[in-house]
Amino acid sequence: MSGRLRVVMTTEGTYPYYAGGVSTWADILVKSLHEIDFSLLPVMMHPYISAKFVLPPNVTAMVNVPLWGTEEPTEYMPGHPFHKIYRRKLKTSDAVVENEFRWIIEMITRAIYCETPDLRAVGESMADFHDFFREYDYHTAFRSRKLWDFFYDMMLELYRHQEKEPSLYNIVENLRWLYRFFISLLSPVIEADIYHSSAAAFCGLPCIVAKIKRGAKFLLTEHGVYVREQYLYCSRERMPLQTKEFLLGLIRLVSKLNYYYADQVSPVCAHNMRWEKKFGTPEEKIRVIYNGIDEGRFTRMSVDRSGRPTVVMVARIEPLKDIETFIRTCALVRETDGNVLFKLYGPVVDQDYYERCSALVRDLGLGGHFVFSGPTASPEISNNEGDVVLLTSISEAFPFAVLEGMACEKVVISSDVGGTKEVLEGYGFIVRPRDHRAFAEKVRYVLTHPEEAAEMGLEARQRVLSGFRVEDMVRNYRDSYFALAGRDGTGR
Amino acid sequence: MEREDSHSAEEERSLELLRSISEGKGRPLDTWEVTALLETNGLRDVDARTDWTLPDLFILSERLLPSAVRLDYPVKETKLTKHRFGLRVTLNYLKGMLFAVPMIVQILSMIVIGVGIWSSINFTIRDATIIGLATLLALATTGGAAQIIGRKGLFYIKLQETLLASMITKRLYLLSVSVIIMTAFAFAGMNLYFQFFPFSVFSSFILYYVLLSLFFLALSVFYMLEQYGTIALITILGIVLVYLFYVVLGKEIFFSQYVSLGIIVVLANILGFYQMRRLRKKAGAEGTLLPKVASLFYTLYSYFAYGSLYFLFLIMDRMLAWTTGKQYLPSFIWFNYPYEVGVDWALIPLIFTIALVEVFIYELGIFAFNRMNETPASQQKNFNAHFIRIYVLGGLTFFIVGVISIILSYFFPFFLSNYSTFFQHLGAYFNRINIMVFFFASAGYVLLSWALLNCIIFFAYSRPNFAIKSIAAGTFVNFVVGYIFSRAFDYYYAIIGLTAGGIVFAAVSTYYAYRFFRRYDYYYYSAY
Repeated sequence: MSGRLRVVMTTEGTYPYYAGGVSTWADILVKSLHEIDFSLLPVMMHPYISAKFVLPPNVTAMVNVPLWGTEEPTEYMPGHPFHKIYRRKLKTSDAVVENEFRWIIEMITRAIYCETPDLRAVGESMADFHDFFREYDYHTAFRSRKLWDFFYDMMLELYRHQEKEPSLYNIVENLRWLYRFFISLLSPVIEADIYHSSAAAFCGLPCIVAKIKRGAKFLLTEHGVYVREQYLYCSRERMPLQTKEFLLGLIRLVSKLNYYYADQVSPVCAHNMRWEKKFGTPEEKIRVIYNGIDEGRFTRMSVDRSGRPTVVMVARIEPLKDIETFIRTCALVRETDGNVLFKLYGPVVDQDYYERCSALVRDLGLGGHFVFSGPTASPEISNNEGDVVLLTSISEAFPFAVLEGMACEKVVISSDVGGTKEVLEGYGFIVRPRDHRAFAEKVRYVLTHPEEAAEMGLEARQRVLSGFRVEDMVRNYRDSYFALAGRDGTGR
Repeated sequence: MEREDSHSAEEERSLELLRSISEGKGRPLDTWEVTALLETNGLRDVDARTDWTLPDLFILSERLLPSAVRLDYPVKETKLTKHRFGLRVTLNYLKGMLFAVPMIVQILSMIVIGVGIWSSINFTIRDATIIGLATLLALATTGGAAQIIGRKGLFYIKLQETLLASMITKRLYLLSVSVIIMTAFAFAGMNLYFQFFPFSVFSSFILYYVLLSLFFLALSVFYMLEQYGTIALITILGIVLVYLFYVVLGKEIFFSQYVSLGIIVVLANILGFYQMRRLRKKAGAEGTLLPKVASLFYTLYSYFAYGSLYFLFLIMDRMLAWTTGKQYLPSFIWFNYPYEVGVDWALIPLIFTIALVEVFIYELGIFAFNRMNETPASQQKNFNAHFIRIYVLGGLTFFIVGVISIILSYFFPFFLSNYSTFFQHLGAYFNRINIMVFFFASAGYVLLSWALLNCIIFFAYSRPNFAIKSIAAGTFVNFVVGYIFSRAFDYYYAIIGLTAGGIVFAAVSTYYAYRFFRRYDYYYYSAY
């Protein structure tokens, strides 16, 4: 094997169409590994989104996979000229659906309701699904009355012994979900050495098909834990149980398939391995690759400061960041240090929550001690305004905010969430989430021990430099790509 | 006893923790969900070990999940409407009637001031023939275009892709304008060769045709945007302008109508382009890429075909009546006043029944969604039977409203002429011919509005073929019966074609609607 390594990167609701952490990660990777040719396969909500990133020349192809917002599912997808779609429509009959497609839907649906599905068989049925729609029309097949009747009967049978049967709408919704989500299986299989999925989600399905059909290697990166995020979404939306049974069953199945077929699973922190292992991922497949930051940008620098002891937090204003604990910490510290200033940088993403926090600031009489400083495009400057950097989140994967504060030589005090401990332990302070007394105690300590704090800050930066730089992350991925492709990195 | 107490204390503690992590959320499905909730509430494996003596949060969630049955988790309510049934029906009925406002305004202006934007009580038969023909051709040319602009423009507006809505509307609009111009040239060529009309007559025809086509096309943009008020205002302005030029300034009627139509076409275009600009500038829309032409064609051709057939259906009887040559016709086509009065009169009952379409469609959407959510899956047959009953009830409502409105509409002009000296001349317009035309046309129009309801249901559930088959059958029968009757008896028997076409259109579409509601569960599912 020779020539440039070819990687297909699949994303879901992120790069290159949406800004955010995962997109930034993908952009860094693609732009840094200019010796590798990338093809992008973004699974997106609908086709009417413009790219938020300028793609480098080593991105050689892009196959958009919109799930919603189209009249013909493949009308915006390359490799599906309309004359072919039309020919497929003419060929797709009820008999074809009954004889060649029905069993695939049966296999997938039964697996959704099964605790221990045969993942190999389900994966192979996904490849058959893909093949079937190279010949036949997706829209026509899914709208077939035979398929609907079959699916309806199967759902009734699956619920026969249950206490409560689903509503008719549940069944309608379930088959419609299959129709929408499995559009991700319609993308053409691009010739490549590696398929790299950025989540254990539907964007991983093309990777599974490529592995089965072309023998491509499959690398899976997990930033958060997709299945966990979807559980939380359904919980917030207060969905009925029957709706959740199918939808979350489908998501669990897709995640399990991703873990099963991936040759390497790379969470961004060891903490996330807990879920991956529970979902059947063998430990030997898992290789943690930490996200990295630009250590040149995040460094100690002199900035305009208030001259008051200052505590900074850079976080979006939403309940998961537990801004209330940050405010309560301020109230406690002010009791002993009347000059202290707490500054919060970050956009409001939950207006109700912001109002609750503002009310708390007023109720605790913190005017003059607590400032909502708004969003910042320069977190490196914001961090340098503080003597201490805090992160009070109650849920995180591997927060950049901690790395960035450490790289700026600040003492970081963070709640013990996600993989924070993996970088901060021994180089800052970790406290129990929501424990504002513990936060306040540590803040007081740092503010009253400036020399020790300076030393800790230096060590914290060294810790970041030892393996949490962009460079380290890129090198780790490069090594993984070449190792999976069975090459030594010199093109051989 | 002590063991029991400690067991129950442990249960209470589990319940309390579960309550605190799941407050305001849905009922947890399984232990995965409970674990996720524990984690997002700041709990860690170490807390499971220290506070609960359990190895990790996954195991703790197994402890907590059974308590979920003791807690109340309300499901998020999906409200489709904020109004009550009675208010909804009234509002939608009025909205449905708004469709007819331009038509009512035109009829009223004819009654009160004797002129409309493209009509006048002082027209000679020759003038009326020219304008009538131009109107019918304009409707036939723009009918399909109006359908596809409405369909695709609305598709993108619903997706909040206003940039694409504006792009596709402009593109289809310009395409339709070029079709109008090409049609005008084609007719000019044919007239040059076959000499249907003398040049002076033909030039008036072509001018009316182009202006009316552009007018109807411009209005289709406002129909898409559901700006019925703008349509009514433009229509009223047109009438005011004609009145100003013709009555106040004493200009010739053709000149007055050309200028007035020209002004409102320009104004409607300016407003239309302004609306498109507004759509383009709406924040949030990013899409700029339209599907390929072949794909657009595939998704729109059925709407175009339906729109064209619909207007063909509407004009068929007039075309047949005006071309019946039993008596001497100065040209191959000749306008007929009594006939026109009859069919225009029959528009009144149409207004009352067509407004029902809006009500029925809206209510069907709400009823179906709610019923589907309430119906246990195994009760599929009951669900379908329920909607067949609702459909039958809808049919009865149409029938009753139709019959009452036909009777009231019949007496309406006579009532007006007795009521006020202002309307005294009205009675002069009514004779045996137009009374017969009125009754047959009203029956045809009431049936047409019922068939339209069926077709709108088919389109809403992505079954355009049902609609096309129904209207094609209706139009065909309209033509055949109208042709035979008008040629065998007299010109005004062409109206029997409209009634027969209406019966067939209604019958075929009802057949499909019955099939549709008999398997409503399936058609509901596959409406994408």
